[in-house]
Amino acid sequence: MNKETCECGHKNPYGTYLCESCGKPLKEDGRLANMRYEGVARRSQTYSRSVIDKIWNFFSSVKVGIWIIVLILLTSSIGTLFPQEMYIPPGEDPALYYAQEYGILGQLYYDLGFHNLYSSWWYMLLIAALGISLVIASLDRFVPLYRALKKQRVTRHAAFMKKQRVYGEGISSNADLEGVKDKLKSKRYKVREENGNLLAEKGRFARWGPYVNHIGLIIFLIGGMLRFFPGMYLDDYVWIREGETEVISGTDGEYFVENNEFLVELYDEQDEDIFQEALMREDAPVVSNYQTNASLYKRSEGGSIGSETELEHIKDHDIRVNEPLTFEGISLYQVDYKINELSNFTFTLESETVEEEQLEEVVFNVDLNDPQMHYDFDNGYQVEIIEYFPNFYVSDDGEPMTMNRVPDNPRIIFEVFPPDTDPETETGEISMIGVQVNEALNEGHEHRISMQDVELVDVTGLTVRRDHTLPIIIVGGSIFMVGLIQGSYWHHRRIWIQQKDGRLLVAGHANKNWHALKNDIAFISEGTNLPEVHDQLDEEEKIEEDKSKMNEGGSR
Amino acid sequence: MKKKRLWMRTTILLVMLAAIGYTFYNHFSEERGLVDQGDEAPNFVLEDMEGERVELSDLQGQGVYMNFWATYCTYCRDKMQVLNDHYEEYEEMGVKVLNINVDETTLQVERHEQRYDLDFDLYIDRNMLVGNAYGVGVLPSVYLIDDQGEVKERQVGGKTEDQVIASLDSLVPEN
Amino acid sequence: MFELSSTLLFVAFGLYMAATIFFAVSITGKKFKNRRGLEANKSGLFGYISAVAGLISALAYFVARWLAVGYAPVSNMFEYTTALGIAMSLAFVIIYPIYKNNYLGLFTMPVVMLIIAYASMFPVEAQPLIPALQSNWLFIHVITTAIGQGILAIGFAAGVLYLVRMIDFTKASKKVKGIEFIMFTLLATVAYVMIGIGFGAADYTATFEYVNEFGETAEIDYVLPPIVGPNEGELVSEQGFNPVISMPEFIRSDDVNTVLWSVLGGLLLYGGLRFGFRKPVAGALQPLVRNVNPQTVDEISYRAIAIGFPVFTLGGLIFAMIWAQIAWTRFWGWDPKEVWALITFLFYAAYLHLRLSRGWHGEKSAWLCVIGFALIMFNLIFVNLIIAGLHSYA
Repeated sequence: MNKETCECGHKNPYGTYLCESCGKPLKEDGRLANMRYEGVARRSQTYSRSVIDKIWNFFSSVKVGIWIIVLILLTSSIGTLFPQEMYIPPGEDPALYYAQEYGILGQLYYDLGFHNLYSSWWYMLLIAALGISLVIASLDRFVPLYRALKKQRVTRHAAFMKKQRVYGEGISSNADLEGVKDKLKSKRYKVREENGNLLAEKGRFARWGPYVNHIGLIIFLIGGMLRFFPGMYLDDYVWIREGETEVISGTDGEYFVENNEFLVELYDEQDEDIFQEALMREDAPVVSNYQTNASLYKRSEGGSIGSETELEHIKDHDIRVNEPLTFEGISLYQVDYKINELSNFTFTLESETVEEEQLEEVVFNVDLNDPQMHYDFDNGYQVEIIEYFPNFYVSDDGEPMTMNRVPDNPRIIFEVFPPDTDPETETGEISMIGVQVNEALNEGHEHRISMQDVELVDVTGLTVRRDHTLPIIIVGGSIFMVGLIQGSYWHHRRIWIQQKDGRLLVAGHANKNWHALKNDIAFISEGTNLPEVHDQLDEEEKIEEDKSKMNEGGSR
Repeated sequence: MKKKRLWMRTTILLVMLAAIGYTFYNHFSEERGLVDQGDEAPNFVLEDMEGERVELSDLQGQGVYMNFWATYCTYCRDKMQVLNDHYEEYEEMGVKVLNINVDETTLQVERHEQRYDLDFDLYIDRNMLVGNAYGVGVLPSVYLIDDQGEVKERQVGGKTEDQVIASLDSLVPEN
Repeated sequence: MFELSSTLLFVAFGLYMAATIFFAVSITGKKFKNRRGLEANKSGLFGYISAVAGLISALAYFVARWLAVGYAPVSNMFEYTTALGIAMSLAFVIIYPIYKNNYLGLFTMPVVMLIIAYASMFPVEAQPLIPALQSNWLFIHVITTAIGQGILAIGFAAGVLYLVRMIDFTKASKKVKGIEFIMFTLLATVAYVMIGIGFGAADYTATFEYVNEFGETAEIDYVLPPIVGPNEGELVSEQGFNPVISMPEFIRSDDVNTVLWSVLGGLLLYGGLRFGFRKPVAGALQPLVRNVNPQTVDEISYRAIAIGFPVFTLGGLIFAMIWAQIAWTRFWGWDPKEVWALITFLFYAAYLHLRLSRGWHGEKSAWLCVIGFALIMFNLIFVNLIIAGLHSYA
């Protein structure tokens, strides 16, 4: 590629705006110099030969980057129009739910796949494109900018000076350059001198802020990407009844958690004095606490999985919202609960023909999570459970079935054998019992099973979470924040003071915060006879405004 | 110089493309089970309804057809009918069928056994310890374990009689 | 303590009002600079002092309420919106000394007042905290976010100032329509507050029996006279009258009614001003701000964004993610509020890139500042009140 030779003798890469060495503008554009990236040639714009180069250049463009951001922004907003699939009520069929709840728009939303927008292939592609753009755009700009700032010369071309936004010139002889230097140093500028010319610089490291925060973002996105790699992320759920112990998935059967007690506490309308008004206004009581008093256990060393597992107590912890139980990178969170699950029924027999005393001792307990098969009594009564359906329903074939193993709607089919019947040969009195259900299934019953007592138990629902990507996400987020602060709260400012043919030229440049730069120049000019500087952009605006006013006047 | 640049750019683009491609592959391909094809089958101990103990490591040298089931799972019922018809002939050929119930009550399992005339031993995985170790989610879940104790295949969902028999055949040890 | 906090907020509101008046005098007073120049200069200082006093009083409200209710008062719509107003005044108090721009005061203080007034339309009584909010992250996350948004709101004020200064009102154009729409929105908010206070003071309620979306009969209370009524509504209270039209059952008719009142009130205010000035409302403000240096205002709006963006990111995304990981088991879950915080972040990121790399200065930049603030308010009001999600606490 052709080099462009400046009059100072420096050979610049093709596409350079300002000579890398002396700053002389190599291209005529506008009254003010284009100081973006110090006027260096951005490499991607200069070569585009092969397909690779073309792809590279595409992603290197800030314009493309902004488009990607805008596309992500717009598509993201669509996903909030109706709830995402994960937020619709559990058990609802999404195919029906959206149409039912939101009509034709809802149906369309579902058909277009917006109910799962954030894990759709095209949304993920957009995020991936953003990542690629971040990597390439940063690489492409960082390297040349670093070179340019590293080797900038003190002495600049007069044209460079004149094209700075803040510029002034005057007679050189009466300026007190030593005073200027002292004052600059007192403002913590780094001052370099060359042949009586000065370059004062401050806050250069702010220029690296954008690259640092882009690196942070890239690391963050890598962390997000690792979420999809096997073994990095665990999201599971465990229901535990009070008094029971369950294995924690994802620990290779090594850790167990016991639910000692589950509590839901409510705010009291009576004694919460300051909240009373708000509590009265609410229709339902307001919950103040969900809590599982849990114990963590570990399988003893050496044992194998299954029925011979022995447990060792590790620790107790009260799991609440905002206070998960954490161990070995796994956290258990309080997320759900079920109050009053049926756990135990107590039955007796009633009869009109048999004496009450006879039946007094016939009391039997059915543990709904582990029912007994036979109940034999000393007085000769026998009760057998023929079938047990924890969560009863009748299938399409008319067969009685259970939906799962949770006793939400238990039905028990009992066969009662009075003392005078022989269970081996005769049929007893068969009936089906459930909550508010007591049906005789055969003829000639002399006894009626009656429910005496019901025991209930609370169940806690815990989320089990392990996320190995967290450290990477944290590192990425922290670097991003550091870069953001570095680039936003510090400003790169430079002041050039140069003597040329008996004139003194003063120019200033700030990457942002021109106000502070002007204040600094005003400060160093005080009592040092520096020529007054002007904001050439203001003057440009003025000229334009005057021009447009003149036009208006002319047209009237 | 130019060659080096092209080479650099190609490498960077390829690395990024590979990472993204792998992410997409993981996200959109069927999820791999906790224990899956090629893994060593975790050892476990279970007891049948009579308290008879079985340990997986003792079954080295035999193929194991490990079937997680529940009484409320209709596909399991069909599959177990097929298994019940064939398990004896395959036992002679060195294939053990293990039917593991996912922690239902003993009563239900026994009544199920009686109702469907199941002859083989039924095991109950109390607290789902084994099921959790194997990452069982949907029922029926079947793990085919070869005579070396390695998982040959993980099957989820209902299967036809032919498919079940083909699976059993594939487990017969070679010598 | 609780009553004290309310009084302090009221005092703060008065002081912000005083600041607005002082800043207005400092600007109009410049015309007589030759005769009474000194006095005119001083009213800018008085304005700033009032703003600082207002901020102190508002912070005292915040502390007093915190002590009274036992948690950082940023947990519901009233508390958060008030905190946003206070944060904006805090940002102004910090930025004013750098630029000493009285015009910025004139444009910021009324917005602060409007935000606080709007906040007071929500239920102000103390509410108990639900378990998910019982965490120190409540104040860390929410206060940081409020401060970030407050600083970004200064960008909005400066952006509007820039637009009022620079737009050519002599010709009808999209820009004029745009800025007039902003004026209308602000006036409609004023109308909403005034109507709410008016009918609230009169203790107005109209109760309807109606058929709701589940086909059941229910009751609904209107706090404003019912222009639009509920589905098959029947007036059961003494106050009120039969509505002009009825809404279908799936729409919250009382909310529609309130919006309608605000729009009508806004139109009345806007129409009155427009008729009075015989030119666009923003155009009528233009002569006031003729002496504003557009470069300075442009830089203020940009710096407000540059300062506010990292704070917002820290509070609205980073701290939010940390808390979400603790309370909701995952740092990111595509909850609507999270998504809108991300959208706000992306929007300002795009703004910074457009400004730094594509040279979008001046007018384009000012429009973006306005849109950014609109996004913040959208996330606050619509996402909380209309789009259901984990953040719907109010």
